[in-house]
Amino acid sequence: MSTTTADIFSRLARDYADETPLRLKVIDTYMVFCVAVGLAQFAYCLLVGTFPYNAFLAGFGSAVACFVFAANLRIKTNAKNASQFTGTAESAFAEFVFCHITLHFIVANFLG
Amino acid sequence: MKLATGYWKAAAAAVAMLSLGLVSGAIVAKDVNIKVVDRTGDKLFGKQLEYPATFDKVPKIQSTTPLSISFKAETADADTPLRLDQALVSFQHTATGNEVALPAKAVGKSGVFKMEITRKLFRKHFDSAPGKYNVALVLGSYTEGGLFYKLGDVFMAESSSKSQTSVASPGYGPKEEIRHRFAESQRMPNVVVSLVFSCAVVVPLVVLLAVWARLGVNVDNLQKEAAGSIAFLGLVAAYMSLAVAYWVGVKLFPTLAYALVLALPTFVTGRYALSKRIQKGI
Repeated sequence: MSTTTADIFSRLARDYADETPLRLKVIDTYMVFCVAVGLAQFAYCLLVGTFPYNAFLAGFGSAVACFVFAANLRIKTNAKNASQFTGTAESAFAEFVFCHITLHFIVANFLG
Repeated sequence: MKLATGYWKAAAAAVAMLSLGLVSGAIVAKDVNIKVVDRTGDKLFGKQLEYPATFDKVPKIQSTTPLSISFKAETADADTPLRLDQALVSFQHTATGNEVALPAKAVGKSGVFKMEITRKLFRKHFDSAPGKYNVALVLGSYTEGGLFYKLGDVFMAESSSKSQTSVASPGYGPKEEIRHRFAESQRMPNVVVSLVFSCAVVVPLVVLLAVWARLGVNVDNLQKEAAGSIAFLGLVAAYMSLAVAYWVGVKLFPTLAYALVLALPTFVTGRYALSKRIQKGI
């Protein structure tokens, strides 16, 4: 049976929708949001220039860091990884919140 | 009447100090010799003066006809050679008022001082500013006072080579005015471009909330553990507000103090709310 690229992607989307828990879908959409915001800022930087550079670094760095924190939260809250991580999803969320608080103070300092 | 400048003021002050009796004695310039010779050594102008006489004729000075002035400094009462702390020959342009003061150097230990305008000095100070100059001796001694002795006028001729030299800065005169160059303002993008990309950054948030709503994300479980959850989320919101306040104007150390104050309640309420969620199986 020949499979096309469209078939592969449609099967991937179907399996994702069926098998992925709601909690992980919420985190995944948040990660896509972080990527979209980062791309928008990067496109603006390419089009217009880097001035003010510190503001661009703060905004783009914030988007990247949020993506990384969300990725870590997803890894820790995924039930398939329960054997590798001893903490609960709530403890992972608490770490996620702490990292975000620290990140936003750093971003506010760098924004200028 | 033109205001005195530079060393003319210093000389006036020295004379004033002398008149007040703040220094002893007085300086007298004797055997003042003024000579202008051409390149072959022939004397074009020569005059010997005794203080306070001046010379009437205005000799014309060029780079090829150096001017030399020699004199002897003595104290008025002791009539002995004097070691001067300051010996300058001042040239003040009659039209612009710019002043050039050239040092006179001691010749031996006999108390004789000599100043000569060499070709190099002429090109440096007078080439770009020809014209009539008032010549004066400005002498000073810490113990004997000062002397300001106007000798006469000389005419500094324009250079025949017409070389484009930059304006020579006087040895002891005013410097060129400093003109600050401020950084040019950055070229900002079009307002429409800025607004378009502002929307481009906000739209993903709207899309995210819409997708979450479609996925069924809600806050119903907050009611099962309202107090702890609302307190915890409120304190997290307080931290975000503190970050905004820090960006707007609050300084670093007050911000850290406020963050420290919020830290313990946030930790306590967060631990309580999340542990309750685990207990209740939310």
